[in-house]
Amino acid sequence: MFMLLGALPKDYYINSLFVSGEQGIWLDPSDFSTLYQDAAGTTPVTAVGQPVGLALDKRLGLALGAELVTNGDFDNADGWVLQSEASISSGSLNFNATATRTATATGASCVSGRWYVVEFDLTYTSGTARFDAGGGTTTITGSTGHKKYIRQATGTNAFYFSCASAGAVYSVDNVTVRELPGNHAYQTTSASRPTLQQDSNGLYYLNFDGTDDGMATPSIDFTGTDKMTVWAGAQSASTADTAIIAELSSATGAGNPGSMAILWPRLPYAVNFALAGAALASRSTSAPADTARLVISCAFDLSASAAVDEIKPKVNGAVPSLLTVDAGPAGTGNYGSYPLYIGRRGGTTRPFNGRIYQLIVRGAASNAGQIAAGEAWCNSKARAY
Amino acid sequence: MDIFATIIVTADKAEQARTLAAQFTGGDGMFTSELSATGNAPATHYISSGWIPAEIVEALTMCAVSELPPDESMTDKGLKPCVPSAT
Repeated sequence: MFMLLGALPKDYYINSLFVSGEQGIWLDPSDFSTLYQDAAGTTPVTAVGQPVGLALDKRLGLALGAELVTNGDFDNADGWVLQSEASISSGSLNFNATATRTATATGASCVSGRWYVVEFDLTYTSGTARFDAGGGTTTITGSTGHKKYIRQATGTNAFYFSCASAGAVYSVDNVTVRELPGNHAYQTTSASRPTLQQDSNGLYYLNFDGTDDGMATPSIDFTGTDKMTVWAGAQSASTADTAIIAELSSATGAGNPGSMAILWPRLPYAVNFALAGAALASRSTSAPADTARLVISCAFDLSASAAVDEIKPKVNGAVPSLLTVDAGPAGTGNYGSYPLYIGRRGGTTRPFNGRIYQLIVRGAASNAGQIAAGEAWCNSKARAY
Repeated sequence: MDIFATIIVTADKAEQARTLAAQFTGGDGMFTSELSATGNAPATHYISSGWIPAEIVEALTMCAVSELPPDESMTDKGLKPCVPSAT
């Protein structure tokens, strides 16, 4: 409808693509509230040129789940199990510990694979203060003030504060732990983080250096569908080597059934669309000299029987004039549960040298109107055509 | 504090550099990008480039460190990215 009204597409329209529980991801580098410099989500991106270690998936609207901690303001001792040298008094949880101690929020169960936003006010004195939100201890920055972390649970357990074996002296108050649903992309290796940049039109993008930059999500469970739609606003800065914009699995092919990829370039062509069921199918666009900024979309369908029906790409809102079939058909089956690698194959090879303005992956078939709306959104953020 | 650096290490010292870097927050996973003079395997060098904690850069004394972007650093040393044989 908004197309008829001539208005720019809004966030809510992209969110509406996922309103029926469709799996996927939506990365929007123009929204600074979704970007953090580190993978733990402790340092927000505030300016162009900063690295991006965590990019939040916007498809579910970044709505936080219910509060998991009972009595996070420590009005009394309810909801917490304390070891010795940990106490609740004066409206805060206090560690005055000479050895490893814990204080567990008994009802705050963190589940493996899910993401949580952990916030609290810290009064720091000494030692190594820590928390655990579902496996994998996080060391708290040793300074007094408000703290915020975004972390993925690697195990399932109740949230707890702790300290290192040498002990610690600190207090916390106003503790909140809430789930942040989504398939968020991150990079734990500092050197391999893309940077936020701004082009001459004032539009923001993630810049990948073509050497070692890349991000990945945890495994995304697409096993309930054999159809997928992908949109991207992107620009390649190099025609030198085949490179990955985004790829579901460590490498698209028969070895990873239910995988897909968008490459740019994929020599000897520019943009390539790859899909694998029991075999690899692949279609490519124009010559690699094409390095203009593009809005790319593709409808992938593993239930189709011919490559031209399995992979239906568009570039800048139209079917490309030169579109080869390099391989196929892909065979049948559903998509798999794999990480989505962004900017690098499997996080190790085929590094993308260029810009990603937007990236949307939807685990469902999209009608012509939805595809056009996704393209319009990406074009509003990339100004490709 | 993070600083921008491009770091190249010879293949024979790459594992030592990876182990050393991994001792620091944000250092695990470095030196996975392969380089050689021809662009073909086997890799003779490995590269990492980006915003890196200064303590990591200072610790990697077995590496060549530059403030140049990665393509210029590679060109300076006559190296190219190794291209995998399969696409």
